[in-house]
Amino acid sequence: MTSTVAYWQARAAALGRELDADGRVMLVGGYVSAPFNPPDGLLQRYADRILWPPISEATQCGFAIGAAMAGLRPFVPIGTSSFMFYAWPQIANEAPNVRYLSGGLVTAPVVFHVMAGSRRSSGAQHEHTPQAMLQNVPGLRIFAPATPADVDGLVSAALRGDDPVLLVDHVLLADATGDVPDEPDARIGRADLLRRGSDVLIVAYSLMVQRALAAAASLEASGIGASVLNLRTLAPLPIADVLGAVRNHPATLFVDEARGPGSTASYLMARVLEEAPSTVARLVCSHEAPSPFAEALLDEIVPTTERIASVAASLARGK
Amino acid sequence: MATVTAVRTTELLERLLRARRFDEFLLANADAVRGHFHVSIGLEATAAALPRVRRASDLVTTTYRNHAHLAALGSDLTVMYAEIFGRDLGHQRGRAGSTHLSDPGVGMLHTSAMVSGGVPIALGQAHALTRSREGAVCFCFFGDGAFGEGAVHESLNLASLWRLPIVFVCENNAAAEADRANDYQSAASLLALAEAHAVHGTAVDARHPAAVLEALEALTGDVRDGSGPRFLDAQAGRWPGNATFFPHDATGPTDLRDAQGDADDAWRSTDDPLLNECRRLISTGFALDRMLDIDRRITAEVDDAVRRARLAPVAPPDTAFRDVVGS
Repeated sequence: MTSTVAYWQARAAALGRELDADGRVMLVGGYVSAPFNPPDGLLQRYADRILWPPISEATQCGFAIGAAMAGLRPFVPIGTSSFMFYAWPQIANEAPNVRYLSGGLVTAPVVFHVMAGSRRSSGAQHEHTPQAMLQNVPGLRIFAPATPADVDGLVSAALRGDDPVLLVDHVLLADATGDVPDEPDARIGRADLLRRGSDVLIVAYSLMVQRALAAAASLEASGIGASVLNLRTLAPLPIADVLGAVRNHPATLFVDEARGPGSTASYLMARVLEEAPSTVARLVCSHEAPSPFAEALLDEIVPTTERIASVAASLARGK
Repeated sequence: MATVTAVRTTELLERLLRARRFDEFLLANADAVRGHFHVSIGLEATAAALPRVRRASDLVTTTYRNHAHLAALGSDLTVMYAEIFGRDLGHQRGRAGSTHLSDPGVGMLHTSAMVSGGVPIALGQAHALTRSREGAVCFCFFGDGAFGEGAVHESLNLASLWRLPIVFVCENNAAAEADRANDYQSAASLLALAEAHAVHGTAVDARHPAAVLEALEALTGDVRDGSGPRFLDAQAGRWPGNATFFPHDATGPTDLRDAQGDADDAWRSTDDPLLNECRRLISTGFALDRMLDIDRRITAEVDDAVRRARLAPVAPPDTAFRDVVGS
């Protein structure tokens, strides 16, 4: 049995489910969906489990790390991803080192939730993709849901796991619809093939999965069959699933909303070319400029459905 | 009450000695240490007072200058040396070294080596304690330099706002200026900075361990009573051997007999908390010989610990990949 819901509904339901199931789960900060997505009722239903810190991200995140070490399960809605830069010492340098520096004696199961990527016309300082930076930090899990089923499962995986997690969310996913299983799909390190086509494979995560699916639909009209592989988690990276899918296709396109240098897609492509050197591969990432405010300029920078379709088509045609 | 007890026992002296001899032997065995490290010499008064006020369920956060805290709390000295030498016997199996030394067995879950790094973390630990342990507190140690970091000011504000059960202990070895706290602060005192966030507290002369104990006990009592966080500005002297990376034993092994007459340098004469505690004990009628007996016993323990740690094996290379994340 499954039910069809919007992404934002699945996210709220999953968080509510985990708050209900485990008294250690708490929110340090309340902005999960607000102000961009429809109200989800969490603030009213779980008011006694939500703390409201001042605008002090370093202390907000450090507080959550300390609480996690001492037995709680904090979920930290940081809001816009660039706000986490204020908390970089805690997110990049404390939480991921707790388990290792303790010789495995202590863990910090904290979830940092951010709205990453371009939500269109928020300007250069509100449209970052810090997941690309943080994939260079061992000890941190990075989950990047793209569908209602993903967010349903990965919120649970994050809150039930014993490691710090960066939950890379995206404002523009809010209205995506899809089926959600009765039991959350909490697998990590496993990718999902969301669409099958024989000419080209598109590998993506988060919002770019939705754009890849739209691109695949438009390619079908031109007689090109495109598969779409949804990574779901960036750390652990589902390398085996990616290699399996790559070997079943004549060409592969790696898509990432992050800028190319240091992106998950560029690293993944390197890994694939190391393991399967004959792979025909290309990379589509954001171009190396800040996110401009004007939409016409923004579409030059961040991968659009049209750009993904165009590069995939040229790959499929062997050009 | 506590102060009276302290007067009559050698409890503080024993902890001061345990910490001091640990660092002195470490300096003498510095050839076994790779990478930089710091010692607690001259700052041991706060550490020596801590075990008297700490209950088993209390938590403690410390800094890269942590040896005295662990030694005073009774962490295994062999295990501590082993960790500092990068051996598998260390609690952290050679991943942590001196600057990240911790021991969950004495309430230290994680040691940040970044200035101010442990301060926000202490708040969350204190919050968790309010959910599980009635009256439990978190002791948060940091140095005067941490006041240069925004996180400390944020944390004082949040701890105060949420009335968290936390005792902030600033181990302050910066020289005070005429009209301000130190060379790097414009405020009149560190206490004034805490008070600006409505965190009340006191300043104490941390060259004198019994005074520190009295102050720490009063503040901890307030925190356990639910009065919110408290702040202790523990003003210590500055040991001349401290350095940015590698300390050197500028004063040599401590001789308790220096407590009897005039010591031959300024630090020993006025600033050394160990000698000052000896002087206090002498003034209350304690025999120096008895202190020397205690010293011999503790020195032998420390000597044995460092010898055993030096012989401990390093961790097998494949353990470098363990405990990065859970399975």
